[in-house]
This record gives sequence, C-alpha cells and structure tokens, in this order.
Amino acid sequence: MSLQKYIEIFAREAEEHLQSLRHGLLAIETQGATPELIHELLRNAHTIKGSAMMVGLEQIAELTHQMESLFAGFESGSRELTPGCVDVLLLATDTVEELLARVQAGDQSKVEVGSVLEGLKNGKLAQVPVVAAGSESVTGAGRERNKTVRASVERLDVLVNQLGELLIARQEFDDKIRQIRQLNRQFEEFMAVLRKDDNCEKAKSLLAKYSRMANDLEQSTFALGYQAEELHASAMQLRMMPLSTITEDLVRMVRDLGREQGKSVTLDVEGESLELDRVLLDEIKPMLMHMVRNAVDHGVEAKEERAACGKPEQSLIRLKARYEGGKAQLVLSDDGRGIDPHSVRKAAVDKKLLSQSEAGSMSDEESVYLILRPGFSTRTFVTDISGRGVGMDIVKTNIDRIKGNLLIDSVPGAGTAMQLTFPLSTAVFTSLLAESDGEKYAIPLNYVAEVLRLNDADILQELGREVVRVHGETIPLFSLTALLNPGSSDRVAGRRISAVILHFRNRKIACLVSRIIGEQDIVVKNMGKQLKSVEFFSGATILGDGSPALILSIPDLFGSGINQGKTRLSEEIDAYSAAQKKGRILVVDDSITTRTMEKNILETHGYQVTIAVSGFDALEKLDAGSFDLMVSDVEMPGMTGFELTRKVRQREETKTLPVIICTSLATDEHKRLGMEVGAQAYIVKGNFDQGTLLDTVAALIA
Amino acid sequence: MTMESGRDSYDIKQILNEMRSEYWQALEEVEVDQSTETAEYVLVRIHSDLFALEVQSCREVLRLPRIVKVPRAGKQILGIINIRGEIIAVTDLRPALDYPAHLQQEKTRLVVVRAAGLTTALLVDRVEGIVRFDAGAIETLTDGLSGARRDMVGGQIVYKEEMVVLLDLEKMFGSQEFVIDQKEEQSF
Repeated sequence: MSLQKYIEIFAREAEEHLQSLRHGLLAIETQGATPELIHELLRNAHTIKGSAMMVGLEQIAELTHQMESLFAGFESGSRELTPGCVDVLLLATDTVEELLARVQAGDQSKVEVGSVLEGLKNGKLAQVPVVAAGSESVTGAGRERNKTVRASVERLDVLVNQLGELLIARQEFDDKIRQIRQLNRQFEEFMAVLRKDDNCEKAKSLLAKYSRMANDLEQSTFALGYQAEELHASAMQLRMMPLSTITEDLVRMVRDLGREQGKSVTLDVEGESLELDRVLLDEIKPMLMHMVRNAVDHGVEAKEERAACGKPEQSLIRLKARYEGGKAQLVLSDDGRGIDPHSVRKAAVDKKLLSQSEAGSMSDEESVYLILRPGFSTRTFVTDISGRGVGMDIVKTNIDRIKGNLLIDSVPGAGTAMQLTFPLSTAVFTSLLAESDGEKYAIPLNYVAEVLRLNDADILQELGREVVRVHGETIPLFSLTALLNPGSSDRVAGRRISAVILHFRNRKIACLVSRIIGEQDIVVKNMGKQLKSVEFFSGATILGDGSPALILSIPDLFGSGINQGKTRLSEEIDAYSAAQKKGRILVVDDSITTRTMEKNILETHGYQVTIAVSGFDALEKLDAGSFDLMVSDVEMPGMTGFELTRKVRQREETKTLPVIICTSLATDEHKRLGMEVGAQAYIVKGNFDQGTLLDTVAALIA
Repeated sequence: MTMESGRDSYDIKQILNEMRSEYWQALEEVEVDQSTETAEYVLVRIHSDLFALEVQSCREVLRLPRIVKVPRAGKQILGIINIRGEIIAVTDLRPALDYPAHLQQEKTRLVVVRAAGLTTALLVDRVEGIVRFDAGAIETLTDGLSGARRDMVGGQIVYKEEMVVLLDLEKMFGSQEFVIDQKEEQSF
C-alpha cells in the first residue's frame, strides 16, 4: 500500500479526533472542564500524534504533541486551564486541520507553525494567527477553469455495472424473440393445412402482419442491443488508462534493484501505450512487480558470470504488451540464466515447500512454476526501494481475479519468458454455462479449451484413474459434482456425457458436467459480505431468468480440488498454506492508521494477522484463537497496553506469549514500566520503521 | 435443493403492510402506556420453538425464491438468492440450534435482516408477527433451553405461555461462524 493510501486512512481517522477536540474545547468554554473530558481530549491529541508519526507528518505530530503536553499539564495540575489556553488549543486544532487538508491535496510544503507551538507552550495566543493567510491555497481557484470533471472510480464502476446489467437484459429479449419465431413457424405450418376460404385468407393476412411485427421487434432489439454495447464500451473507455501508468515505476525499480545487486540491467517496455481497464491495471501491477523482481533476482546473472558465458555485460528485460484475439497479452522475457528445473526443485525441497519424493516425480516443465510459489524466493519481497509490500501469493490470487493464465517458457542459459494472458474486462466476460447436480455454473471462457461429448466407452482407465484421450493427449477426468462435493459422485453410465476441457497453466483436465447450456456474457457480482470468499468460486452472476449462478474459480479447482497425490498443483497449494503459517500475530491498537500499517507490513511478510481495537477486544480474541505473538499500543481507551500485557501474563494460556509494545510514549519511565509488566520488546513509533518491527517479531517468534 | 415457487412469489408487500399496520397499532398502544420501556420484535418459529428478532434489523419477509446452493460453504449457508439484483446468502440457523434440517414448505419464509454490517436472509419455518416486549421482562437464558447457544442469544421472555428466545443478530453475524471467508485474501 502506498504512503498516500495510509495518509488517506490517517486523514479519516484524524478528522474524527479533530472534531472531538473542537467539540470538547467548545464544551469547556461553555460548560467548564471535567477530568474525563480533559483525558478524552488528551487521548485525541495523543492518537493523532502517534498516527502522524507513523505516516511521517512531523508538523502535525509536533503540534499534537504540544497539545497533549498541555492537556497532561491540566490533568496533573501543573498547568492552569485558562480561556487563553482554550483559544490557543482551538487555533492548534485548526492548524492541524489545515496541515491535513494540504497533505491530502498533495501539498507537502510546510506551514509556519512556530507561533502556534509557542502559544501552546505559553498557554496563550500569539499575536498573529498563521492560518488565515495560508488557507486559500488549498481551496484554491486553480482547478475551476479545467474542462474535465473528476469522477470517483466507484461511480464509474457503478455505471459500468449498470450497463453490464443492460446487456444481460438484452439477452432476455433475444430469448423471447427466438420464442416468437418458433410460434410463427408453428402458425405457418398450421395455416398450410387449412383450406382456402375467407377466414383462412383473413388469418393469413393477420399472420403476415404478425410476422412483420416480429421482424421489426427483432430489428429494434438488435439496435437497442447494439447501442447498449456501444454505451458499455464507452463507459469502459472512461476507466481505461495506458499501461505506462504502471510500467514507469517498474523501469525505476529494475534500475534500483540492479544497482543494489551489482547487476547491470534495464527494462525495455514495448506497447506501453496499450490501454487497459484501470481495475485490471490495479490487479496486474503487483503481479508484474513480482515477476520483474523475480527476473532481476534470479534470472539476470552477475556481471562476471555473464562475461564468462560470453554475454554482453548489460542484460535486458523486455516487457511486451499487445492485444491478441480479444485478450491482452503481456510477455516478460529476460536474457539471463534461465530456470534450471533441477536446482529449482532442490531449493523448493530445502525450503520445505516440497518433499523429496514429490520433487523426484515432478516433471521439468512443471518445476519451473515452483518459482511463483510463495516462500520460494530467497529475497524478502519488500525492500526499501519499492516501499510497498507485494504479497507473495499475489500472482495466484490476482490471476484468479482477472481470469488470466500464466505460461512460463525457460531455456537454461538463454533466459526466461513469462506470458500472461487475460480478458480485457473484469466486469463483463464471456463464460460457458454448464449444469451440474441441478445447478448452473459459469466457467470463464478463457479457461475452456473445448467441449466434448463422450460415450462411456471413451473413458479409459490409467493408473487407477479415469482419463479421456483427446487429439492424442491423455487428460484426467473429474466429475464437477464430485469436485465440489467431496464424497459424492454422479457418473452417468451408458449415456452420452458432456465434458468441458479446462486448461490452466500447462495442465488440462476434463470436467464432467450433466449438461452444457452454452456461452453467455455475464456480469460479475460479489457474493455479499457474508460470503467473503468461498473456495472454488470467484463470484456469482444473475442469469436471464433472474436466478443466481456461481462462477467457478478454475485456479482453485486446479489448486486443491483435484484429489491428493495425483497432481502437483494440489500439493503446491498445500505447501503454500503451510508456509503461510509463519506465525499468528495479534495486533492491538485503537488507531486505524497504525493497525492497518502494522497489519500490512506483517502480512506482507507472511504472518497471519488478527486485529483488536482495544484491550478488551484483544483478550476476547486471545480467548477465541491461539497466537504466537502480540503487538500492542499503550494509550488506548478502557485498558492500556500495559494493563493488557499484565493480564496476558497472568493468564495460564498466554503466560508465555511474546508481547511487543509499540507506542509513541518514549520516556525511560514508560519503557521501564513496559518491561515490568512483562513485555519482551518496546518499540517507539517515532523511529518506527518496518525493519525494527520485523526484526523484533522474527527474533521473538522463532 | 430446488425450491422453485416462481418469481412472482414475493408477497413482501402484503406482509409488510400487515407488519406496518401492526406496527402503527402497537405505536398507538404505546402512546397510552408510556410507563415502561418496550421494544418490538419479529416473532418467528424455527422448528418447534419461538425466536424473536429485533424489528430494527428486519428488512422484509419473502416466500422462498429459488435458492442456489453454494457447495462447500457449510451447513449454515443454505445458498444464495437474488433480491432485486443483489446476491444475498440464506442463513440456516437449524444446524447451529441443533434442529433437524427439515423443510416445512408451506409456511417457510425468509426474513431478510441487516446486522453486523451485512445483509442475510434467515430461513424460518413460520413468521408469527410483530410483538412488543417490556425490556424489564426479559430474562437471561435458562441453561439447556431450546438448543440455542448462549453466544447467539440476548435473553428469553415468556409470551402466551411459550418461551421466546431473543436472538442477538449483531453478535451472531459479527462472529466467524456465519461469515464465510475461506480464502483469506491478503489485503495490501
């Protein structure tokens, strides 16, 4: 996640606290102060301070720090709460808000806050309020004359989705027209056997009118459908952005990575003007980052090695983008050492991603895909260079989302090419509808190689499993019903059977279904908040008759659906989930900015993170699940991190749970207190960086 | 599990109207007697027992539309339905309440509820109507009653010589049991 994203989260959080501060201060003026109110305001200032430090907004941190000190002074009685204090605190609140607005508008320039800070120290207003002069810069008039309008991505998505629905509605019309035509034919047949008399003539002329009407309707529907498609395409166009918006960062990344590793390498991008849906670009970017990084880390050789092979010192990574048959195709190739299947298998075994026997039976062709497996790379995938974490499973997860496919072609000694192919739209795509066990399922067409009608006799036995021979290829046969509902089976004997040949990466399976319904454009809908993710499905759609249908996730099906031991890919997924269990961490913090940031950093590094928003919440979560480590803030409403830590130590089940205190309270007094209650480590947010947290976590969790 | 009863079977309007008129009646009654604090509940029957759902959480009542089952989602999810273009999961409380999963077609309804930030359709065997309970009359749950687990329940109350269990929807749907997240995709 980029810093700007964190700043947005921070801004939302800070806004609430600022509002609370303003209300509280005004309440003090009108109704006087209570100890609870003062403490509440202290906490508001403290939270903003902590979060501001996390996202590196020094001025806001400094201001809120002084505000906090002042409130602390009121609390201890060392400072007197005067009307002047309230004035200056209100001014400080305004100033923080102003700074916040600037940051959000992307304005990094500093504001003169010296007089406000001075005021906070003295407890009275300095002569010249600083805000008045600067405030117009943000609300500025500069944007007004622009001929473009800004529309939120969400709004565009809604528009695109609604138009997608319109396309579906058109299909209903097509259905109805087919029915009318059929009626028409029946009518004509009936008329043919009637004798010629007056009534018959009359009926004939009626039929003629009716036929003309049906034709007209068909034409109108066609026109409407055409318009709807055009409209949908124009709406999609609004979301299109050139590939260069994501490749520019990559070029820079390659250069920096190369320099870091002492390799001379450049990235050459071809077809960067290719326009893609923004939604797709968002999904592809982390995948490309992963792939490019992989190429630099493992593909490209060091200078000496290249020289020894007679290759030019400068190595080249190429990214070629183009449209290919209604799909987008990205090919990333390097001229490095290529992937040696043998050493890849060995590395996978060393990293416990693969057992010795599994490695022994894995083909060279399949072995190269091991490099995509999370936990395979020797490098950690977050560096200070990119500054944003790329989840290791990003390639797998995102391929599913974009309904894409990835092929790896590697020649040892000469280089590696990875080909990523995906449909141009995620909102509407063509799918094959098939029925299994009484339900209809949508299969993204991108994964369908062909549709087969089989006789029972076409099914062969090989090594104790059923296979079919197609174009000289032996393909394992699975029943969709049995894949989806383990234990059940619906082999239909002695009848013609329909099977869909699915392909993913370099593998194929034949999937038995009870009926093939046909191709249809479908609009992807999520399954609601209750069904966040269900294995084997990537979403749902609504069919022409109004009933929902699930969309099959083919990567899932290839991943774990195919029974154990028969395929490599199922083991790959198993190994992945084992690697994923690097450690379960409970993050406790009342500030959403801090929580999100810590969660992301830890998850990026393969830890499983659960979040708690208060001490009480943390105790509940500890009760509900088991954890390997807890990271906690100190200043939280209700129960402080110190109290929480003490409680954790007292409880039998969590007595030995390592605790890291992560706070902006930096005094030695606090640190001592942290150790006293039994925390193993104490990290100050001010000098908080990923490295410190990760190192500490790694040291404690081992 | 194909429970086809046609697309035009949403008798929402009628039921809502009934609910509404009962609601207004109840309101008028309250205006007469404002001495105690009361709250309204939708009274439903699951298997043989009565359960109460806070009226604020209930959106509408539907006859069974076509329910598309979701393999592997778990027993507590009966399937998904389409409500005006939105996909909503159908929650079956019977496994959690230890009742047999037997469908009583005739009076079976879906009560669409919104709780803990999500919308779901609760499968009930019968909707009895809307009732008003005194807050003071609500007791804590007697152990072992009606198979309902404590973590799903907000209390119990006697109504017309029957025990009514108040379901705590916020708690139920805030828990992992009724939210399906099998892939745990990483956010980044």
